[in-house]
Amino acid sequence: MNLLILFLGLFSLTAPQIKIENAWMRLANKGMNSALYVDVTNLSSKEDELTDVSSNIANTVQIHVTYKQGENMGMRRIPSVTIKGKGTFHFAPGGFHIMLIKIKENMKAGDKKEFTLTFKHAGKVKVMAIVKRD
Amino acid sequence: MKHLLIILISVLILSGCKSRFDKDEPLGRKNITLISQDSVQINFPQDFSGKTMLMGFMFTNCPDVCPMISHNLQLVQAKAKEKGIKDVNFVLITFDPERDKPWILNEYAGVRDIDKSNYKLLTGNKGDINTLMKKMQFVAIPGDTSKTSDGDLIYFFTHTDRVYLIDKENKIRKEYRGSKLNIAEVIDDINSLE
Repeated sequence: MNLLILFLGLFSLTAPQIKIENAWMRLANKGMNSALYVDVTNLSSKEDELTDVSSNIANTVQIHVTYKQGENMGMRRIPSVTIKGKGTFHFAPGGFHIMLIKIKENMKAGDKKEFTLTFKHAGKVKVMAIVKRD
Repeated sequence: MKHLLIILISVLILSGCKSRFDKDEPLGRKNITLISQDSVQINFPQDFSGKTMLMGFMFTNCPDVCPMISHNLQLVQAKAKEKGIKDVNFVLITFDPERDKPWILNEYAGVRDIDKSNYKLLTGNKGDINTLMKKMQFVAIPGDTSKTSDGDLIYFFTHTDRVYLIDKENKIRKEYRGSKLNIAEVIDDINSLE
């Protein structure tokens, strides 16, 4: 019985706490800017925080949000995004996105590019994003 | 009395009808010289007279809103082609001409597979573009500047999210939210101006 409890405890520690789906980035050539969009689901009941995103495909990778101010649209960098326990956070066009500044290589639709998302509790999670036109 | 009643009812009906187009503002007689993505000189808006135009402003370093606008114009272009609407042009003018040179615009069009037959990306003199934007009540405010690790400047703009429907006589007839364009509505409006 103790062994079973230990096994279940270990399993809950190693079970994935974050699920990443629908990861895609906008097609771009070398030198251009682009954006990564993704759905992040927090599988744990405890709140988590996305604190960083990194990738080799762009010079600079930042978490940004597009905001509306009357008829105008602006964009600002934000340090992190909170994902509620058992909640899903959507990075989508016109809203939160991962800004990719100065893409390092030409790409084509259908390519897959690797990103690492860093969470405060869940740690580093790798994801492959598909390159798409809008 | 009967005639008076008919006239009165007609007036009431007509006054209740809303025009499809809420604007009728000339773009102005003065042309500005712009350069297309193919490095062709364009007299704007004169070179687009005689056809309806769906136009807006953008900058190529925009990662989010401007690609949505340029894509929406492509969707309208494709729908117009499907419906056999021929007398229409699609134009985006950059408000960041220091960075958006013709070859940059050409690359932007290329990665998006833009059909350039009647869809033009234009750049030119910043002062002239600013004057046109002011006339069209379009705002683009540069934000803080920083640098990449390679020393390249990074700056973005807060800008109006709007595209304009211009008739064959170069008058602004309607405005739409560019990033959330209702394609069917725009096609109906273009058809109405045919």
